[in-house]
Amino acid sequence: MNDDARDDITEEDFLKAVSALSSEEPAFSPLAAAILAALHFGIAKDSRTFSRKFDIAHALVLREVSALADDLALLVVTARNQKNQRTEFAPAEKALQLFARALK
Amino acid sequence: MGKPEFIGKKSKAAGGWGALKSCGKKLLASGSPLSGAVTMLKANQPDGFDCPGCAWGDPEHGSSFEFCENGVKAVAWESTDKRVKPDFFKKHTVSELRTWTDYDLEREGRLTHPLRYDAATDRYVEAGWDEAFGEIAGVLNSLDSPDRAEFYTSGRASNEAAYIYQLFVRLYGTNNFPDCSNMCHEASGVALEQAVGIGKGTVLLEDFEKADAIFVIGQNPGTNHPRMLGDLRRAALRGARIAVFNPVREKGLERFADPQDKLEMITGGSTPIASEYFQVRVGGDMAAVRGMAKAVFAADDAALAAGRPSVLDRKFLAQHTDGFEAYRAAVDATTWEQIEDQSGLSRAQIEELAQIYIGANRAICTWAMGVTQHRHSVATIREIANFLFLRGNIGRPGTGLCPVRGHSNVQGDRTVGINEKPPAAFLDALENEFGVPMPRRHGHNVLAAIGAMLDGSSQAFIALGGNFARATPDSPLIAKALMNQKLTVNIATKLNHSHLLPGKVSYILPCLGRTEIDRNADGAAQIVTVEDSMSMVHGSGGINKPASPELRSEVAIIAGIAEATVGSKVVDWKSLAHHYDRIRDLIARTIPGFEDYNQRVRRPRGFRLPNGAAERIWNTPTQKANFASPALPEQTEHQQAVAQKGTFVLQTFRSHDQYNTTVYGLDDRYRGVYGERRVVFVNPADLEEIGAEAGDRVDIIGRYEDGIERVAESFRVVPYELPRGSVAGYYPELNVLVPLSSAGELSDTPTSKSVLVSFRLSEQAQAA
Repeated sequence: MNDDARDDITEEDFLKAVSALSSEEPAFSPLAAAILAALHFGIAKDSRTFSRKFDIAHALVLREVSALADDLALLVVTARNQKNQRTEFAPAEKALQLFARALK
Repeated sequence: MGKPEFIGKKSKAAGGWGALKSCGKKLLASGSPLSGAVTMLKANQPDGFDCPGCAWGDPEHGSSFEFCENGVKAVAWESTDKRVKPDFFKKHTVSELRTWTDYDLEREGRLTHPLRYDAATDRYVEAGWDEAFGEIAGVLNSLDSPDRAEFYTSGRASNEAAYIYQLFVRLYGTNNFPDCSNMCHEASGVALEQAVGIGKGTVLLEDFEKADAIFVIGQNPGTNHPRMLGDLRRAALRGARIAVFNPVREKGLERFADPQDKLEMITGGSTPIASEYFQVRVGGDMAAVRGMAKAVFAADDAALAAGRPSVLDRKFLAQHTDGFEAYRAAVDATTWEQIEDQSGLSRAQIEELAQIYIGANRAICTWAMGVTQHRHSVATIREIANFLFLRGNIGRPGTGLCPVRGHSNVQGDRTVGINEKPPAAFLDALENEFGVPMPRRHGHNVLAAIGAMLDGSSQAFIALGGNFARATPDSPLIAKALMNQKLTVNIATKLNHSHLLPGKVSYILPCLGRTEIDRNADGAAQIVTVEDSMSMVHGSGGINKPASPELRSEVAIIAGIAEATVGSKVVDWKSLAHHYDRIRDLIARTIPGFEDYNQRVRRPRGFRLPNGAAERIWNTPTQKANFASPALPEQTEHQQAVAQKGTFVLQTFRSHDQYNTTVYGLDDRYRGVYGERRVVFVNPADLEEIGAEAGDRVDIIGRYEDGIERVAESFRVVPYELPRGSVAGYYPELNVLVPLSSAGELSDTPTSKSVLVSFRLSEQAQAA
């Protein structure tokens, strides 16, 4: 994963990554896979940015982030803004391994 | 799998928002496969998030909490990282905690474990869930009659929690359902049931897009329903006239800066809301509305005399209403002198308002506690309905009655059976479904429950949420009533003052908040459903990890108490708690309007419950919309106050950092008060009569003549734009002055907006 957003990612690349992550972990919802893909490509490292960039209700994103962090241990929540619930996250080791397998 | 269609140009991922949004739409597109391996999608279900704040409608259900200031406060308050663990009570006795404010108590954070009160040490100690359910059941089953227990409901409870709560309580054998709506919109329910055959409003959000005139009566949406301001703002921007009746000059109703309008926020701009703002006297709304009706009749007479068309909707009046002639006679018998004295408005002002009404093809009236918490609240709401009937302003787009409810599901709780006077048809349906008799005796509302607890005839009090001791009038009496109980149980997310008034056996049972993901034993996330002020029912799923693994949902807690108390022979409580769809199926089978509940609630925005009056179907005894023709009150409290030197009429209200009894902070920014709550707002011209100067500390003394001394000590005087003779301050601090025995006629709603008081300088001020 890059720290900065890559400027050569197309929509097609992104959807392929979502598809690959979903294939690797069938339990994922497409939204969960998209959150991971967006994190991997440096597109969004927090729930609110993802919500805005992808025009998906923040509540739905938060719910998926919670599942990815608490249930699947793929994300580590690093900060939460109490006012707007913006939740910042980073990939856990398990996610890095997943990225290595699915997005090589 | 089909190759994903490429839309648009190659984009820089961090900046190509348009393309990313199209990705988002693809991700949420219903059902179409993205990869062939995974079906789209778990996340396309509209199990959005319902803000635990107010009950205003939500056009884009799912994310409103991001934009409404109060919604943000509610969510942040619940999702705090702070915790009240059992160790907390090792440091603090209950007696000590009683000296804390509710703000300080709730700020300690979320409750994490079931707690049982230990009288020997005056502390709460950790308890087990089964132990709690067993002991609660033991006490309930030891009472000599089920009518000796009171089952309170807060408007936060979901439809699912409320439904199985009422089912449990009725199987236990009583209709004792005091609930928070008894203290707020009960008068609306009573009046509208009489007038139009349904105790709910008739408007949809879309009606605000079509109305030409909106009359906002006794309501402060800037603080209490901020999202409503967005609808009023849009109406104002397209030229609708918005007439406000409020004794208090509320800044939020005058101008509104929409947080979603970035330019407005950046430039500090705002949009005028009220085109007309009238500071009606406290309790004078009925007179003001009658005055408008009188002016409308005069305009109609003049039009007919001049050979012009009637300004009334004569066809609607003839086809759809009953009692019009009697109402006309009552209006004719009401003098302008009475109207002006009671409303505090001049005839010219009222005639100006009437012209706004006559000039509007579509009109809406909204109202809230400023109307409902008086002795004559039911009569006032009937008058509002009368007023709308005159020009057929109900049951067509852009028109209607709009009582704006407070807590997010207070309307839904009543719909699914939290009702001390349940309709026979509902009880029949329950009996038909469950095959056992339901109690038919009417139960207790809030005031009756308090009376029964005080005189010892009720001996157990169970609260599904809320802060009963703070929400109710005559706070010291309520404390006594609760501590007299054999059993008190509070199902709660955070510690509050009501928990510190334990009965002989007392439990605090910590529950999930609406922000938290509610998983059943199989790990499946559950949704709950709520009904907003527009009768829209929609789903809500949590967004956060629960504050503690020990927490249970309200549904699971009620199911546990129910199973221990009444057994599972009639109802399989565990099964219902395991999957809330099963509760919704029961609701669908026993309450009209919920057919296909589980399917329809998962559609975007959910569904609307049937509302006959909105379609001009009148489920009243006359099968018509009914006019009411009472005279104005002989004397309002304001009139009584001005007749007695040194007496004022007090209204209690919320600060901006407050939602019902939950205090999020100590500021009230629209009114310019920061860092304190013990303030009383007075008209500057009344300072001399009060005998105080701005900033002085005063004691406020209740003047209700029932032999009980009521004093609220040491409140700072804040000059404010109120009518002379009126004063105002925050509840719950001022509930000590609201008499339990003063209630609305027919509604039993506490008269929290019209309390007679006098003042004295506090000892502190005298010493200075």
